[in-house]
Amino acid sequence: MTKNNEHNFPGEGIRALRDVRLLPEEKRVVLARLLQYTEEHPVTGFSVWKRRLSDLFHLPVQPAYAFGGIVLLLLVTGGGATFAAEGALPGDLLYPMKIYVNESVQGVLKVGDARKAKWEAEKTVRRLEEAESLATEGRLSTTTIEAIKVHVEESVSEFHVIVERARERETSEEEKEEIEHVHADFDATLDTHAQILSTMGESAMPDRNIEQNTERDEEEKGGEESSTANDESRNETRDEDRDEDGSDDTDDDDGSDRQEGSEDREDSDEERDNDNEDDDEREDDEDEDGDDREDDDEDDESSDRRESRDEDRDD
Amino acid sequence: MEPDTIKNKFIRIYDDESDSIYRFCLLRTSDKDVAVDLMQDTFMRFWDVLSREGSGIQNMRAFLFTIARNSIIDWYRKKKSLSLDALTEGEGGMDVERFLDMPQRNDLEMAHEAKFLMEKIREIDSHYQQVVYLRFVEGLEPREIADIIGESANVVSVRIHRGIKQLRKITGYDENKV
Repeated sequence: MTKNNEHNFPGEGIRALRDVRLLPEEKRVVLARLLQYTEEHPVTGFSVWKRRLSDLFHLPVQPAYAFGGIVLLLLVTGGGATFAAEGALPGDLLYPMKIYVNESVQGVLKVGDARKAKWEAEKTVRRLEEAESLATEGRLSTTTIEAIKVHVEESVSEFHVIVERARERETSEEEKEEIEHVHADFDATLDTHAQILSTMGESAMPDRNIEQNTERDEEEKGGEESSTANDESRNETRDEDRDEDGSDDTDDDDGSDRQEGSEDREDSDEERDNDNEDDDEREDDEDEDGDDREDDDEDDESSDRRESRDEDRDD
Repeated sequence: MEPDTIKNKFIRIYDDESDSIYRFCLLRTSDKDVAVDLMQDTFMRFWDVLSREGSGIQNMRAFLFTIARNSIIDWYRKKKSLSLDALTEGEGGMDVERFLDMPQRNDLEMAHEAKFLMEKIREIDSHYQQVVYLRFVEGLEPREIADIIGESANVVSVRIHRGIKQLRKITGYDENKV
């Protein structure tokens, strides 16, 4: 209170404001819901990495044991696998090794709040960079996004817990300053990556993704080779259409194609998978009944097909 | 820490802090029902961390305000793209209904001074609002506020100072004509 008087602040209003409370009924209802929530999400005790690491070595986690684990691992694999795993991306065989072995081990070796916080920050950045690499390779799917999100959230919350703890602890000014530095750096890095990712999200990513998935689906189809070839070439044509749409809208010849292209582009992430299936189905239909929905750009190709069909009939 | 003690701790913290968090949300959203929802959300997120970290969190209060602040930011983002679906779907919808069925509190339930001050705090520059509120109404230290809003303690102190100057001017408490 004295502080408030010091500032000559309207103390009465503040006291009245502090009296703004929930109704007892509201407080009770929310508590009931929260208690139900706590039942559904029981206490897990250990922080996440500790639990994972102890699962891994079946030992209570202590740096000494973990260190033994590292030595063992290096002996067994000659260190090769751990090195190889460093470059792995979500979905790769060695990826679990990278995040659960390499990173857990590196985490154990960090001593001091600042270093620990820095490490959590680095892990977050690694996840984001993975997302970016995947996006550039066109391999970013909704599942990998979800997985990466979970890891990022983990690291970020761990980071804040460490920072929080460090600030509370009675430490030297230097250490405090270092923590603040790490915090500021982390915020800046996160901003940068958020920008990168959003730029990626707006530009090439969704289209690339569609191509990639469709190609994969086609690879899996395998058997019907001639139709697969046709599909692929048609995909290419469609991509060209899309490019034209972006730059040259005066070309009226491919009216219907343009509609198709823009539909594809507007698809949201969730629908993308479904849509690929639809695409395939539609293309299959076309193959079967030879329906000539294609326009000028694809005419060459469909006439090719007609020719090949004629040949079949001749046979 | 045993699961039971963690839960007891959680309930105790809820008892102590739910009003503060509710108030904070109310200040930022100007909507009682939303404020209750956001408060509930805040405590759910808080439980997620508490159940995992146990005693790892040191400054519970500042941490709660941090979560609340994030929940509010999320709410603002969602509000932009708010559709009818979001209002009716899922468990959230049920809550809204339940609170709507309750007799609406009228403005008189909030003391005149409180209402006046809350309005005035909303009138000052947006980046002063939170720091002034957290400092003077919730009595948090500048360092804690710095944690919550992700700025340095210095920046927070400066904002408190400027914010309070502005608030005094608006409320007519500014006798020195600074």
